[in-house]
Amino acid sequence: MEYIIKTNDLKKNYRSFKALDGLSLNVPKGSIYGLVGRNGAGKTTFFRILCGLQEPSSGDYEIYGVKNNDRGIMKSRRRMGAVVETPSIYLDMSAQQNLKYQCRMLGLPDYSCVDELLKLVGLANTGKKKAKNFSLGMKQRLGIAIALVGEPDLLILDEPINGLDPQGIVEMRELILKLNREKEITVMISSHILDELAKLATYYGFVDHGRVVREMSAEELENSCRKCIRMEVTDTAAMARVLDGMEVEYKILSETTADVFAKLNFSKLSEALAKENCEVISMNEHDESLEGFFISLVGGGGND
Amino acid sequence: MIKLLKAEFARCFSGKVFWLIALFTLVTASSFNFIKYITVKREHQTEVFNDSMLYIGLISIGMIAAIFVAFHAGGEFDEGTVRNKLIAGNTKTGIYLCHLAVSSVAMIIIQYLFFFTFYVCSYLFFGAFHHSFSVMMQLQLMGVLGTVAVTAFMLMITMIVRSRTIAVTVCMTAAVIMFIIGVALINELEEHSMELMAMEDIISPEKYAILNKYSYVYGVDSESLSGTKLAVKEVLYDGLFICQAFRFSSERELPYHWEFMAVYNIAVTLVTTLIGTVSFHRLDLK
Repeated sequence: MEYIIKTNDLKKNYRSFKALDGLSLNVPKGSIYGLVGRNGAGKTTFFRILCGLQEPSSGDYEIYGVKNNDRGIMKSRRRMGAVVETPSIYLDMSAQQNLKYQCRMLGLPDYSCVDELLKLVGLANTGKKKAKNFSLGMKQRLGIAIALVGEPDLLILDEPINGLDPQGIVEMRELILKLNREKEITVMISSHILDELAKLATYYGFVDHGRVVREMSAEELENSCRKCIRMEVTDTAAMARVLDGMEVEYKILSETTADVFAKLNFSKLSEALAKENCEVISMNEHDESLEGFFISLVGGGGND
Repeated sequence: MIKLLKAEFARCFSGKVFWLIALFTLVTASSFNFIKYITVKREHQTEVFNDSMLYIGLISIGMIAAIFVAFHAGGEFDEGTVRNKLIAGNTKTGIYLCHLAVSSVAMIIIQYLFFFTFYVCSYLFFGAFHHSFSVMMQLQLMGVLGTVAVTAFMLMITMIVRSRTIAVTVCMTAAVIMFIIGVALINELEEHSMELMAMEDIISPEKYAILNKYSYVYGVDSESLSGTKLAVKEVLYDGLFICQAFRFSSERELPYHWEFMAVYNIAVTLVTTLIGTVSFHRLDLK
């Protein structure tokens, strides 16, 4: 698998506070990589380091195979666009002027992409309206449009749906999916709204206390989070024998609890279990969400 | 960096801040003449010495640079646009130097705008100046070095504090403090000079000749000012741009020690830029 971003034991300290404590992750090309972590986990610090705003205290990272201390890192950065925390826009300029400025800075020969980008993010009709008079959602979209100038291959979005109304969230989701599918842009995205992230991401990195506690694909996560019947029985060993006989997938969680991943005829199952002297105490449908998975992974403690 | 320069110049000259300052400069330069014209008419004055007013633009450049630099460069941090510049492949040093170039050019334009507006208005109202035009141009050229030094100083503050509001406050305070120090220094050394004028028998004839021609002579102790204290004040007298600007307005030719002034201005530009770039490079940006 080809990776666009690789980090190796990345550390960042602010005096005694460890914002990143050995963060290692890999972002596959073409993916929508969801970075999940609570406040202060180190997501924004990581994005700032990627954008060159801050230097890591130790460790290194690669963007398109170029290490952060190589001279070519500046060129690699030109292949990415980013919206970190707040959109980076000149508030006393219109949307069009902001995009033209970005075109000039990147040395693009003309401004032909400006109208197309404004249309793409739904700001085509803003005219001479200054960015300071935009709503939060419009500013976010303008920030993304600026990040897209120069046709980057990688887009970094830090909390892009923060403060957006429900319609704005849907539009943002559709825009990200469109960019990923049609323009083949790899997107790295962090969000606190995990259900929304679950609708987008194809890869996940779970961050806690400045470290990646787990990286997995959306399929793996789905398998981890898939629906099952959680059964409480008197003897899971007996239950295992019965389920093996029925060729049903299951997972023993304890001496009395097991998850069953199949649609079953529970009358027949109860009958078979009774023959093995195993009683069913309770059963209920269990569906672990991304949120639940995240909490089970990093623990349910409060934010630091 | 060339691309960034082009983009930044375009931003500067399409932005409101530059044009508001330019308008303010135009109005100020012409209104000084208008007020003077009314006074001359009312008091039936026959000879008008307006030359010293030509350098008000230089005296006030600290305040103007404080506002311009804080708004132009300081806003980058409030609006987060410095991120786009870094992602576009620019280095922090490149961004810093680019701001220095753009701000310096903008302030030099403002400096000359004041000068030429004042010159034209004054010429129309009162006729010829006492200074020769070539001396005026030489002094303005000296002023360019000072303008760049002041701009570099304000930029250093702005890029380190990384906030428009704080930068405006700190830069304005610095400009006011420099103005006060400059005025106090000029007054003190003028008094010192007056004291020396009365000591014709003690000062060597060469030094007295300099004092006669330039209104100040260096390195001569008086009862009130001597030794290290005098030496420090004389360095500031040459080095502080506000003192230089006041001296331009009172001389009819290049002031004595003008070479020192040029060297000090270049040194201030280099030192502040070095401190600024190194500090900015080390800072963690958001």
